[in-house]
Amino acid sequence: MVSSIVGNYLVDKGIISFEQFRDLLAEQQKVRVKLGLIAVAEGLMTQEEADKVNKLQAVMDKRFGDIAVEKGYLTDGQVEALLKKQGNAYLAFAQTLENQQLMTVEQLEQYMIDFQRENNLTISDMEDLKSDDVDRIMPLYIPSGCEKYLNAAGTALRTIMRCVDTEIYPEKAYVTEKCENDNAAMQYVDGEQNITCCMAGKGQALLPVASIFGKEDFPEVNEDALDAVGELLNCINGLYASALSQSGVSLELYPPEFSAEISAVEGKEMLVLPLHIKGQKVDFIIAAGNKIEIK
Amino acid sequence: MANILIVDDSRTSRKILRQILEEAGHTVVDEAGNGEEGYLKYKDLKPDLVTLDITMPKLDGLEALQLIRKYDEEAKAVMITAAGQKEKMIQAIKHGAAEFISKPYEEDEVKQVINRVLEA
Repeated sequence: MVSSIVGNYLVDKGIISFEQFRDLLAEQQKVRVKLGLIAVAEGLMTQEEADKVNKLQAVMDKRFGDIAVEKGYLTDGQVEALLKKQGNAYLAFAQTLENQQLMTVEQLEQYMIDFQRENNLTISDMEDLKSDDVDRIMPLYIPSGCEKYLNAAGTALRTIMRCVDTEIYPEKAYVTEKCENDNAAMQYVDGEQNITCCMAGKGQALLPVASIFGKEDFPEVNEDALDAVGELLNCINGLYASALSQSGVSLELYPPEFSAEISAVEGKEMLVLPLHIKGQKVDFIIAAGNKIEIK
Repeated sequence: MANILIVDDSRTSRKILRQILEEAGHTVVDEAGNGEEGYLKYKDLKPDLVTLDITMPKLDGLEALQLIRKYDEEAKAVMITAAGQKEKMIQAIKHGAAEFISKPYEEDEVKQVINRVLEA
C-alpha cells in the first residue's frame, strides 16, 4: 500500500507521470516475492502447508506469517527472518524509482519530507507509513476519537486488497451524517457491537470492484453489479465477525441491500473512508452503534 | 456426478458456485433466491444435494434446512456462509447439515466438500 500512497503523491505533484507510476508498480510486483513462496523455497514449509495458510486467509483476517505461526508451521523468529528476506515495500519502491532512473533515494526522501509536512505527520507516523503494515497505516487516516472504526476499516482494507486490488490506497477519513453518492451496497451486522458497512460511489466508480469480485464484465453499475459489491461486504463483515467472536462477541450478518439510484447515505454518525480502487474513488462507510440508510 | 440445487439470495454467489460445480461435472438443476423458494424447488426437483446460503431474506438457510430435512430426512445439505457465523453453523449441524463452505469460494474446497458429502 505504501507504494500506492507515495506513487500517487508523486503523480499528483507532477513529479512522475501516471504511466511511469503504473510501470513502476508492475516492475515492483515482478521482484517482490510472496512470503509463502520464500518459506517453501527455504524449506521451512511444504507447498501443501503454504496453500493451506493461503486458504485460511480467506476466512481469517490475519497475515500469512501470523497464521503460519498459529498453525505451528513457522516460529516468530522464522517469520521475522522471512520478512527481512522479502524486503521492505517502501525501500523496494525507492529502489525501483532509482532503477528506472526517475529519481535517487535522496531525492525521494526530500519529497517525503514535503509529504510529511503537508499531511501533518510525525517522524513516527512516517515510520508507520513506510512499514506497509495496514494496522500501522490505518490510524494515520482515521480522525482522532474514531478508534472504534479501526478494526472494521482494517478488515475492509485487507479484504479488498486480497480480493480486488493490491494497490488500493486511502484518503483521510471523516465523520459525517450524510454522504452523497449515486449507488451503494450496504450490510447490517447485528449484535452487542453492531455495525453497518456500506460501499458507495458516484457514476460508474463501483464498476471495477463489482467486475473483479463478481468475476463478470458488468456493463454499468446496475443491480447485478451491486449484488457483487454486497457479496464483498458479506465477506468483509464475516471476517470482522469472526475476529470478534474470538473475544466472545457474537454478531449476526443480515442480507446485503443495494440500490442503483440513491441520493445519499444518511445516519446519525458514520465514518467515510474514501478509497482509490483501480483508478476509481469509492466511499467505504462504517456506522458503529447506530444505523444508516440509503436514501 | 450429481444433480444439485443452489439456494442463495446473491446472484453473484449463485453464478460463481454454478461455474465451479459445472466445471466439476455436476448438473445444477435449478437456482433459488430465498429459503422459501429453495424448499419448494427441493420438493419439486428432488436433487442429490442442495447448497443453502445461511443469510437470506424470507426463510434463511437454517429455516429452509429444517423444512427440507423434515420433508426428506436423507437430504444432503451443504451450508454456505461468510466467516464468523459460528452460532449458526452449530445450529445447522444440529438440524442435519452435512458440511459447510465458506465465502469467498475456494474452488478446490468447494469440489472437495461436495464430493465428500456425495460419497458419504
